[in-house]
Amino acid sequence: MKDIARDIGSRLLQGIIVLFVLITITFFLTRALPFSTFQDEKAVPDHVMEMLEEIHGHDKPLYTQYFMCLKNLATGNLGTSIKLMEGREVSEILSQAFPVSLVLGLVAMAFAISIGIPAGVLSAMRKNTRVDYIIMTFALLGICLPNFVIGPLLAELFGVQLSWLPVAGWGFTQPSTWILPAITLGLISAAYLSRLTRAGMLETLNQDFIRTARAKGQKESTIVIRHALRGGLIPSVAYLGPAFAATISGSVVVESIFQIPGIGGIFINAIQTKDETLIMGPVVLYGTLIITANFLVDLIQLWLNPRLRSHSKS
Amino acid sequence: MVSVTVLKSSSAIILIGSILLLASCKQKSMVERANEDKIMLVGNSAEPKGLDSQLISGVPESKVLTSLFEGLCGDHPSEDNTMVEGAAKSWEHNESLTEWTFHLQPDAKWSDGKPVTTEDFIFSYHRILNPQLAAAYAPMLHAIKNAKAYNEDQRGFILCGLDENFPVEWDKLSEINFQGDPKVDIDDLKNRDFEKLNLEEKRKLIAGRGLDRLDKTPLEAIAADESLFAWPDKISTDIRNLVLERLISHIDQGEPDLYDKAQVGIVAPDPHTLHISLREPVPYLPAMTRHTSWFPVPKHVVLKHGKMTDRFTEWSELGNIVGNGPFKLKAWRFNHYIEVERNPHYWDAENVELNGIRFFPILNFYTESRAFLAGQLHTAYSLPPELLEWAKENHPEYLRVEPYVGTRYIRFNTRRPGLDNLKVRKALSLALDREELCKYIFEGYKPATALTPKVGNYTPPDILEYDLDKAKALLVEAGYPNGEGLPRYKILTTKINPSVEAVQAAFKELGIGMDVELKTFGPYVSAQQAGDYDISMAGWIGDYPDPTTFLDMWTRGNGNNNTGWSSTEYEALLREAAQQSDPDKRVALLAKAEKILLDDAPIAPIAWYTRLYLHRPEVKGWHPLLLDNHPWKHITLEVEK
Repeated sequence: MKDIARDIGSRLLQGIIVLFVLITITFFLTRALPFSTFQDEKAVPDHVMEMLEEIHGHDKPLYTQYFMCLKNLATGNLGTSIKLMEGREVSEILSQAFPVSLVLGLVAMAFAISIGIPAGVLSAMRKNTRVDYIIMTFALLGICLPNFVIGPLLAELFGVQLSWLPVAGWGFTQPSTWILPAITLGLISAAYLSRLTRAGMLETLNQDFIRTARAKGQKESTIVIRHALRGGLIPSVAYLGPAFAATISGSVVVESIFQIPGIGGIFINAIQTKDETLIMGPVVLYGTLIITANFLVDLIQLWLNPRLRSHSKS
Repeated sequence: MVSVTVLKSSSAIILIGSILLLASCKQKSMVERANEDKIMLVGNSAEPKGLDSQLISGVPESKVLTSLFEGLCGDHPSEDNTMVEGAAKSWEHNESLTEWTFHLQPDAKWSDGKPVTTEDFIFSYHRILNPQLAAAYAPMLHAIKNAKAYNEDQRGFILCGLDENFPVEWDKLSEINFQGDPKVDIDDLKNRDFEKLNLEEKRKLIAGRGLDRLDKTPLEAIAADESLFAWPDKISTDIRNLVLERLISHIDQGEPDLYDKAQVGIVAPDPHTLHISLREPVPYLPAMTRHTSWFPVPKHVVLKHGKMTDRFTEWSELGNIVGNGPFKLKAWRFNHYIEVERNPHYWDAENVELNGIRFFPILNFYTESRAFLAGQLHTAYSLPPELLEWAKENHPEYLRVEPYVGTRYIRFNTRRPGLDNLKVRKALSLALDREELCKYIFEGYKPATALTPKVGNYTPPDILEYDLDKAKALLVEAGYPNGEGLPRYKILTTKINPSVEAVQAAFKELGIGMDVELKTFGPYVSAQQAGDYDISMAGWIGDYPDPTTFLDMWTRGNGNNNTGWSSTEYEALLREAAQQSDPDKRVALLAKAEKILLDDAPIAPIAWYTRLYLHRPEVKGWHPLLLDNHPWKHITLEVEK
């Protein structure tokens, strides 16, 4: 037990160090952007510029600003936006945008899993048949076609031509607004999942215990579901974690195509306007999320696999 | 043999299919439902930064704000140069156009029911001009007497020049360096401790900042050692000490607000009469009051949520914001939509037709076009130019192509070798075939014959031409035949697109090969403001319907000039025009000034903007307007049965 506690402690410490490094790099990279936060398309008079710098503490030395930033973050204060939505609490902005990104990511992953895994299984069961070829062709297409091509095509077809679904906007109570963006976002994961599942299933289906099960005369469906699926899904499950993180944080393009009020668009605009606090907010949020997720996965693996525990080395 | 997994995947497909079907059962499009509810759905490009009319500067913000607030004069639904009553019922001016009186609507109320009075207007103009607020658009009010001095915190002028008891007149005092010398670079001295600077650095810092911008320590240092500051000889030691004494005592008092001492030219004899004194004749003052920077803000609400000078407090957020316009804020979901609804307290509420407006911040104009065609918007913000031909053919009923007060132009950095030569700049400008460029590249745009488009009673001079032979001859005269001997220039832009490539190709015709330098918007702006570029692709949208919105920026030291060019003759003409109260003589002077600008060619205008957008025919009361400010209260949605 002591060892496990030490393991957990060390992982936790690692997580905090990673977060600290992430914040530090973000802080200094942001400050290195070659323009001023307070500049405008129309020239800002010098006295206005100086006043703005003073208001937002930019007249202080860089290290002072850095320690201020660390201090605020340590107390859970993300600060207020200084440019893009000046005066608004960053936490208020994120609390509106994050649930959207999260729901979109979840629906996209649900779509990817419900399409990708059955397709992969089916493909493996019908290896080298027409079904297999068709599924794998679609999978390859899904991987190759970027979402900025798929998205507008889907929107044009289902939105403009058929008028089945809205082409832009978002409503938590209107699932019809989720469908096109979630499919666009989830398609690439679905494609990867089907290929990974197919490969995993094929490997498992060739193993001795499957042959034994078949020899015992079990039904094919029982063999696939009860015996093969567990082993066959291992590569897909390993892929799901990072894929999910990438899906909720990487929906910038899809947000733009379907006018989704998520975090991606805010993050990009914050960088383009050098809104330092509003850049730091999403970085800290996603950083914390991914570190926490990895920490939890580590814990689960420690629990599942005794060989990973440090005392087993000795 | 049907496996369970097959069932699973087919059930997923059925599920999705049924959702699609369910969605398709909703027969009516969003626009059709909105027509019934009398709600207009508007594509508004970007998420507003905020709704404090005195702190924002963008077009998307101004679209929302014109529904929530109203300036002294209102926008006419179809005439660019006709003013209609707004917050003011009537107004008059003296013959020289320098003294204006506005009579407020007697029954005007804020959306919380409190009366709108001149107190609010005085508070608003005081606030936006307050140097502590650092409002970027405060210069829009600089035409008001002494407003500029107050806004720029010109302490010497306010504390000494405006004081009748001060022994020396301002004419003489103004030779003192109060404002700082922009040519002295003090960037590396600003943040250092004054006491630790050496004598030379102290002199430099003081000269660069000027007396108005100095803290107590350097001011006292000057009092102790006159050699630190370049005093004009005419100013006696007594006067010098008196000036320093006033500046120091102002700091000792904790730098109180100088508004009253500055005698800014706004007074209110009663709650419904507003007098505005201007420093010069401004025939277009009523048109200016339609700009967001001239909108009133509710004094009682602003002060409830903070001090006058606090930036972006909660007063302008949902639940708190109170306006004097035809609508009031109903909902605000970041990056999703902003909705406004009828303001029952509006003085002209009975003539407002719409029940509400919903603004969608759709930055991606392809998405916006799809949303429009799918029946999600009444009016779109912008149509991508490459879709113009397609829209002409397929949706002529939706397409709108309207003139807009804006110009696309090329900016030359006249401090660069080669570009400092007038003949080279002229040659480059002559190489631009504006007709062809507008026909194939800037689709829908009009070829520019000058910088300023037709606006008000100003007809732009017909100066710019395309003449390749003349251009080549000029290059030979300049000593760069076929561009030989010129450095390789870079064209700065934010987008690699056909327009920059076409300009590149046009210059290539002269034998001058150029590179394209791509920067994102922030670095693009800062590179120009720092003079760190050769040639840039630029654009300018007018703020008010008068040529000065295009011409004033090319003066010396103006933060938007960035070309390194200036002309005393040009500035003299602008000043003369500013003092001229006869409208025809005034525009003639401005045209003369514009000719000097174009003859010296620090810029090469290419095309005048056109607004290209999709718009539904059931929207009535929406007419082409140069400034594109369609008064929301006149709009109706009429579906033809």
